Amino acid sequence: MRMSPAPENSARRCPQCDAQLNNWIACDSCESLFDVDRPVTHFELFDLPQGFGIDHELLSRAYRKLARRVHPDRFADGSERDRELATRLSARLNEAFQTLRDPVRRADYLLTQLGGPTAAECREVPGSLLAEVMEIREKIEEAKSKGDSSSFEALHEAITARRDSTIHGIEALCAKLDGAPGETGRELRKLLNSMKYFDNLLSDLAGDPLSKSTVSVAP
Amino acid sequence: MSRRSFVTTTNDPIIGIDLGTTNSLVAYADEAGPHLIPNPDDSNDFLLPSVVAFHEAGNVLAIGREARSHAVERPLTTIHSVKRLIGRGAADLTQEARRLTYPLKSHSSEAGRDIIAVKIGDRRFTPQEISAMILVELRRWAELHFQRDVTRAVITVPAQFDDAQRQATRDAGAIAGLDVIRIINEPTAAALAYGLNRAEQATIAVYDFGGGTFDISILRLEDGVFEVLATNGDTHLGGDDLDHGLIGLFTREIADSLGVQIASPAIRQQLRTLAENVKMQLSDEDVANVEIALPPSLTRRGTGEVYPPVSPLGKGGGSEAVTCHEIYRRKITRGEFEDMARPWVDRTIEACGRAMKTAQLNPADIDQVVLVGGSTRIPYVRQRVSEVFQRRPYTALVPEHVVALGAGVQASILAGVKRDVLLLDVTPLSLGIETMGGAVGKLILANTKVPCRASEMFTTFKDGQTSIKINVLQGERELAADCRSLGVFELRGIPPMPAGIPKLEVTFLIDQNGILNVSAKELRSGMEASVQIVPTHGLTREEVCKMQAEALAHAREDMSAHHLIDVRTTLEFDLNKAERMIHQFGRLLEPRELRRLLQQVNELRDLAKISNNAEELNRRREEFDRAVLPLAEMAMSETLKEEATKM
Ligand SMILES: [Zn+2]
Repeated sequence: MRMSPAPENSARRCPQCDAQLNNWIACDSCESLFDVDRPVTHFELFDLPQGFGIDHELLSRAYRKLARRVHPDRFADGSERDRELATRLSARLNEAFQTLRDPVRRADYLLTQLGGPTAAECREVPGSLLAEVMEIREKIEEAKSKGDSSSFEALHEAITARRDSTIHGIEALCAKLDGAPGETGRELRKLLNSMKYFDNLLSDLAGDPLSKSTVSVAP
Repeated sequence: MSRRSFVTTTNDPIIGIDLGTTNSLVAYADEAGPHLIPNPDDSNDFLLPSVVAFHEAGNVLAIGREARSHAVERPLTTIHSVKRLIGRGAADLTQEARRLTYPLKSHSSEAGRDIIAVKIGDRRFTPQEISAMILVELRRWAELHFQRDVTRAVITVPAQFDDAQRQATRDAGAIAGLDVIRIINEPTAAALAYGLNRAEQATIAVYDFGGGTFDISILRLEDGVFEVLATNGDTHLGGDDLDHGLIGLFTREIADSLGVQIASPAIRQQLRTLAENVKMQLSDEDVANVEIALPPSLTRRGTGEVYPPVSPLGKGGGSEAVTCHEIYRRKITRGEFEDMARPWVDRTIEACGRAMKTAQLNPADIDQVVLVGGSTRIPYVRQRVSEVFQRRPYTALVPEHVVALGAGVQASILAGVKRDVLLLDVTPLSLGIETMGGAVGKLILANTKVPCRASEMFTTFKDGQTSIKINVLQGERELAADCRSLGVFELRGIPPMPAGIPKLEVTFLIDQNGILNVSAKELRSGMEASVQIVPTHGLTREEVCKMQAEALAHAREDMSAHHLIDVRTTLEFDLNKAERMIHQFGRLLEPRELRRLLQQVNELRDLAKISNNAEELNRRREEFDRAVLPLAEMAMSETLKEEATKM
């Protein structure tokens, strides 16, 4: 994976107070807000290197720090322009944070950064997936009709394991991405699309009152 | 609670209001922390019952505690639980309406709109207007407390409130003359109230079981930022449901044992009060006694609907009433109550599980469980919450106070008094638009951080088409019919072009209040399209302005009524004083002068009885005071002389 260097913020200065800027959207010194003046990536926004591997602690800390600067509650007494800009920048910040925090959305975002298309734009899934899903669904039905809680747990574990291995696969493919996504991108999109199937299977399983009882403790 | 003056010197104070189903409170915060503002008539009383009692003609009789005391004798005109109605339509309220002691009417007959109102006499009041009356009273408390105008407020709502309910709450504020600068979620407010003295880092679950709604929110507190990770709950689930469970039980048993169907609003109101008391008693004791005397007019006729059953002037009055009363009496154990409450409490516990799943957390990851709302006083509720989170809940603050205190904290954040804390909340419901075939195209998912934004492209179907209508929905279901319609958004001003050519980008923005803002732009021409909204369950801007003006006019009427009383009282005082002087010192006056004064006293007494013109009365009083002045001076010097001779 090619690591783009973090953007050079140090060269930029605040047009209001001339202080050095530490991020793209607000001045830490005079608290002015800025419309992002060029397309800044989600990674640049948080001053993180572009790539699938991400330091979640760093991401969260950067998110909180920026949210403190741009949240509309900071501008309750501000001008109409500031309040409008704060709302817009906060929406952008939230979008960026939630995209990078989630592995599937993060990988999809990387694809768009490298020229796309996104997983949703091409609906391909791995060839073996549909048969596999059918098989698991039959097992869920069987467990439901038997009301057998131990096979529910086994199924839950099996699906979660498949989901986890898919995320590992996504991670491995992301590491190979370089320049135009090409064939690696195609494989990546297939894996990303398969995630939804596993999630649906899990919520199918959870929809049953038996498995829910692991959450709601009987009195 | 000590009375402090507000510390920000230049700006008007911002108050925090918990506009509750059962009670409402008002608070503020200064550097020392949040404080509740007491009832000006009783400095130990912080709860304003959310009840407005009306005269039959439709003018307000009382608000708050006094209004609540009218509930049994005036069930049809004493309006309670209005929070269950706000921002909702008749279709949402079929279940609720049956429980209310007062009737609901449709407010608007416009197509596509479903707005309800309470009918009293010839007048109709929307839930927004009734909520505004409660807000005006709280505002009065705050103004007396600060000794200055209060125009800005933060108001809390259940986290699960949808856009229509939030807008309606904000509109209630506007009608009350308040600029609602922020709507915040109740569980989040509670966390703010607690968070002040908490450790720097913690994951907190707020279990908020109030009178009419249930919310569970999970928050992460770090670096002074309160980040909501997930929220779940039910706006149709509250302590009221437990009361109605008990009412249902009593009603069935009365029917079985005495053969009486209860249809009278007054008896239903009595049963409601009884159920509330039983519920409270069972929080402290293992057994509660239930006893209600049914009036003879009810039982004498045996079965069938009897109405009205309680009539002090009726045939059953006097001694007969004492002898003919039938008594319904039973004991109820805590165990019985818990069996009855279980299905509702189960629903809250399931929502806790869903919230943890959304936050991707296990019970072991939760550091603190905070209880909010009166229903969390029930031991069974506490027990179930302890079980699901595997820890004892934290209850340092009074569950009924904590939301208002948090609203006060948020008010101080917005005022810039408190700058070290920030709240990052989420939207509780998915937002979507109706697509072909009545399906929902989701644009923003539930639990997305707010503010958030989504854009969608639209085009035209016909050549030269200049407007497009979009049905905007909120909810988790797949079909539009199963979600809540927020209203039809009509995009106007699209430049005429062949069908399919316009590229209309519509932006849906949910702001920090959880309120939706829609804007549209035609990309080929760069023209902004205007967005007209017909709110399904809400009021238009014009309607809010009209109600605001009406509320103000009524306030002025009330004020002039007060003024008239003041003028009459002063006049009466002056006349009495003059009479005493005439009696004592009249001998010093010319007889003609004396007669003239006595005549004036009588005239003014009569005028005060018949005139409603405060101005005129005041003018005549001033004239009279001037006429009495010579006598007053003589009386004064006479008194001094008498004093001198005594010495
Ligand atoms: Zn600056």
